[in-house]
Amino acid sequence: MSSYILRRLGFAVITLFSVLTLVFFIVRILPGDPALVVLGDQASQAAIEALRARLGLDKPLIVQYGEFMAGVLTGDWGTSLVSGRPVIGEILNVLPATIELTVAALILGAGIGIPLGVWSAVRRNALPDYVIRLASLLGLSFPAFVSAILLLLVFSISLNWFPVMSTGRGETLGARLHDLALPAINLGIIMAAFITRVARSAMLEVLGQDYVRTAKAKGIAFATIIWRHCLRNTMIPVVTVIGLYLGVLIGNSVLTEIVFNRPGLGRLIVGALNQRDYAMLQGLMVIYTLIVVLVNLLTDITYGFIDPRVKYS
Amino acid sequence: MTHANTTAAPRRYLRTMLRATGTALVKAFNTNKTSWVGLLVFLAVCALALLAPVIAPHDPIDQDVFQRLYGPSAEHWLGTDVFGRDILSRILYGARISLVIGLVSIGLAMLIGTVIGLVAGYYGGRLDIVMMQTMDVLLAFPSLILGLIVVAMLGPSIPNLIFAIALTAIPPFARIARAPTIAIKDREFMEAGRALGYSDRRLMFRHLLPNILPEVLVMGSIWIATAIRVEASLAFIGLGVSPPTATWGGMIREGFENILDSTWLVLFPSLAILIVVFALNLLGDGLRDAIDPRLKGEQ
Amino acid sequence: MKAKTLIMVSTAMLAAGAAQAQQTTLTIGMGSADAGRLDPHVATTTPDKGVLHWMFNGLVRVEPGKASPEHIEPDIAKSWEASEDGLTWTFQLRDDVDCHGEWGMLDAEDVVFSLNRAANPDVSSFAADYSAFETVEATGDHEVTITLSSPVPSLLGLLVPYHGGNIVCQDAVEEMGDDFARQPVGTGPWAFAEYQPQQFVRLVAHEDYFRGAPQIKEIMYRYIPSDSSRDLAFQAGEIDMIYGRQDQTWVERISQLPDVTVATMLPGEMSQLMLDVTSEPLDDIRVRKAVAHAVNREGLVQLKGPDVTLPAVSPVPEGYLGYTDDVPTYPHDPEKARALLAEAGYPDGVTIEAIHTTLPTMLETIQAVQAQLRESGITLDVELVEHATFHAQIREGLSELTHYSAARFPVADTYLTQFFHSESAPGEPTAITNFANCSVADEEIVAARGAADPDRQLELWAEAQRKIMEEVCTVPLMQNMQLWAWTDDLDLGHEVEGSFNLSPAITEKSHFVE
Repeated sequence: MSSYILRRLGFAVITLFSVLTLVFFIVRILPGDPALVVLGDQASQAAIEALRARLGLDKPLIVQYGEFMAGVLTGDWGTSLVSGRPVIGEILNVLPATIELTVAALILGAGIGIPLGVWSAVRRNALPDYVIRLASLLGLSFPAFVSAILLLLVFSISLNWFPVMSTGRGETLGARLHDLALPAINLGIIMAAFITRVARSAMLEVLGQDYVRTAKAKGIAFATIIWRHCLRNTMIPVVTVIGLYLGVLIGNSVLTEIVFNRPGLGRLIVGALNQRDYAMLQGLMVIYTLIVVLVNLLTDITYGFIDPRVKYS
Repeated sequence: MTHANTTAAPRRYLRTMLRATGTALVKAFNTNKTSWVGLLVFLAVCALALLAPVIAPHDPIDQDVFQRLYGPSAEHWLGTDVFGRDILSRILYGARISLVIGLVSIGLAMLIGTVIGLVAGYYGGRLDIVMMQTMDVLLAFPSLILGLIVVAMLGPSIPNLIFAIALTAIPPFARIARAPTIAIKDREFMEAGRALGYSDRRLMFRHLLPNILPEVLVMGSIWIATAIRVEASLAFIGLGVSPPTATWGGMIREGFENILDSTWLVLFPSLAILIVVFALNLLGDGLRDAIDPRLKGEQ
Repeated sequence: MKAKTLIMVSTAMLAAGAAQAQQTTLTIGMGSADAGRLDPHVATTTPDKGVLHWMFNGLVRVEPGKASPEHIEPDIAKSWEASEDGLTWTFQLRDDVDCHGEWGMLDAEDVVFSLNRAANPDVSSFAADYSAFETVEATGDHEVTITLSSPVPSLLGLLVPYHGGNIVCQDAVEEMGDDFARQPVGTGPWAFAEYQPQQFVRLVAHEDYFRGAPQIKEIMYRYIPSDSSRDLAFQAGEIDMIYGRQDQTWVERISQLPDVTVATMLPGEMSQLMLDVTSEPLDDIRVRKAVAHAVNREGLVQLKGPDVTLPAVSPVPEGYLGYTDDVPTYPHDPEKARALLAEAGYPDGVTIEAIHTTLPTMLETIQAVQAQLRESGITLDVELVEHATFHAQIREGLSELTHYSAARFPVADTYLTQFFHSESAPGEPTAITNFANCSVADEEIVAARGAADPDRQLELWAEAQRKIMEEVCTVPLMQNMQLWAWTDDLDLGHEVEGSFNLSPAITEKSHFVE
């Protein structure tokens, strides 16, 4: 087990390292000199040189690369060109809101998706199966901003149950949940659709296994078979899919944050791109990479716990 | 003789491959009837998009401020927008943008991804590790975020959007092509081919490719749906093809500003996206069920 | 089921929370994605001006709710007098003006520092306004004397807390350095407390404000770029005051909501298309004339709604002192536009490149203009960038055609100097907003500034406007009223007719009623 984890950890470090290198070079390939972007075309050459020196852009690329890597490791991610404040501070400021949203969506997605998927598999080719499959497919087809707008229209405007703006800074738990509800539901629906489908096909596969047939033949109650034996094996693909679709989730959280005016990484990156804030952009790419690599690692490790066979692979 | 051989062989090869793929797909379609529904709807949308210049009742970018924000009527079936432009015409023309970007970007991704997967799987070893590690790195980035960065860097134009979306879609195709390649490459017929002195290229593209093509195509249909969704999302964020070109995401973005008085501005383009994406998903999903080896014989 | 109960409980809790205490937090929704620059001597955009409005004082101010120079009243200065030649002005200051935070009391030195800072092109966007200032001196602890090299048409107008007239606290500026632009310090009723990028600026009451402690204790100035989101949040009661969409349908719809005040405020912002006379193909006057003839002003007014817009024909907005409509005009005539293009050597039409903001109201206008120009064979290639970037890039002279929308102190001189004097062109050390690189009226603008005879001054201003229109440096489009709405629970404490500062005045007397 531990050698497996170590190996995964090694892979994670390699991936992280390569993506960070990629990020470094992408930001430097970007059209336009950051100093010029900040100061404007009319800036005097002296002023541009001064700012380049301040940003460390006058040093050889390899030195810059070393400093960048060292900075990433030590938490010095540079200063936002727009607000003039440390990038890492700005990111940490909104990170909780994004994590809160993502975790809530995951819980909702798994809570709805797993039971529906299992039910659908058990009642294969019966009415519930058809309805669930169509519904999950429909859920997958909604662009996140369209579903967000619809939720907003129905629950905030017509029914007035939830706030239009999700400010992400409620003081009591109740207020926070109230605030979080619509964005989380929006992301949760998409997640639930993904999970339903994966849970269904995983469950179908498990139901076809010999041991399930044997158990049935032994006269063990069907419900017991499902809960005792099948669910555990169904979980592996579900966990994979959560890891795999985290990217989709993060992408959709951008759209959700925009529609609900919710602070978060997504709005930060759209702002950084619009304002050509290279330092901020670089920091955001680093944090996205960190999150994705970390989640993939966790996914891999979780496998190990759910499926004892994995340690041999 | 050599001359005849070189011209006849590719044609024969192509025919065989298409036939094999075609048979597999038709079988898959018949296994899951909903695929037919998806295909028909999708083809209908393609036809409407192609015929847009003929059937659109108005010019999609022609403004008439005296007829702004009209609800659906006989003159404007789906109403007009803030500038008095006909929504139906804009949706029809918008379909072209969505489809072109969806089809071309995924076509490219499919081509590049499949080749990468084939080569990596076939040769294995260090090449495989390097190629797939690169794919994993690409995959590590959320596709919308990657698209966002690429488009913001290069500027929003159709080629740039295609490039951005294709870039995000290459890794999954590489993965899906690689797995069966590894499984098949040591089978008897491949050994036989090698014994006959066939070149690697011939083995890969003539003997391996037909085996994995159905699966790649099925995945393609699902990814076209994703590409259309991503394009609309980018347009909604403001990184779509520049105005006044009609795009569905852009129409929703503009319509959102008038959502309280004129809900149809958002509703109709949303429905358009939903119909196309749903049709493609229905198509791909049904086919995948039928082709998925794990579920085979479970009918 | 559980989730539902939880939601209902939390809704009830929220409702209870709101009812138990008198509301003292004012939440405002602004229509931009983020703050730009929060230094009052640098900020030029509507979103920035709007929030700085409540944080600063000037030597004098315009009575809250009014928007005309005749309503100028004392602010930091108790009284003032001018020498007979109008070149020496002496101001007596209040001695109870307290700076925000721990920065102490404001005295004559702070005022001298502020006005010199406003006149310094290195740190101020408005330096050119103060070019006639020879010296600003502290002639007593609470006395400031301004000496001018030549008379200024409306000196007091330069001293209202709008652009350079904002008085800052010297110690704060000097000690905070670059940080000042991120947490400005003034003397107004509200003090800067917090800024969250793309989310909000939070202000807190300045308890020692010289006119008395404000009744509203906190102002949340939220950045909500989507007009629709802002309207929705306002309608749902999550926001008390919103920046409106410049559109008649907006006014009509918001007016129908119960208990809402809608303000159509003067002065309007004038939209114009500034044509860079130095860049191809606009360096050919025939192309510029073609653009002017291609624009359909009536169509634009129709688009925005005739109740909230006025068509504009002169480079100076209607209603400003010195305005004239006796200028060359270019009626909508696509045929003539095409003919002019052909004559200029572009029989197949031209392409003009423009950098434009994503700000929805302005975007709507340019899209309409784009369609109008297309009818005359002019392709307007619009590159969309975020509002702050837009302001930065047009100041670098990167846009051939610049769509600009602005209100200034309503005297012809400010508009003419800032938009049409060659010293205000991009690239000049005194650059402001002459994106057209227009220079035809320099002489008249300067002569009018120093003209002793008011009639002669009006004549010179009119001549300048004629020359600019002859040269087609700009295509004036229309004046858009400033539209705001707020809940009737909010009593601002004064009638709102207008505001120079691009946001309604909120004073120490403003409060919420039950």
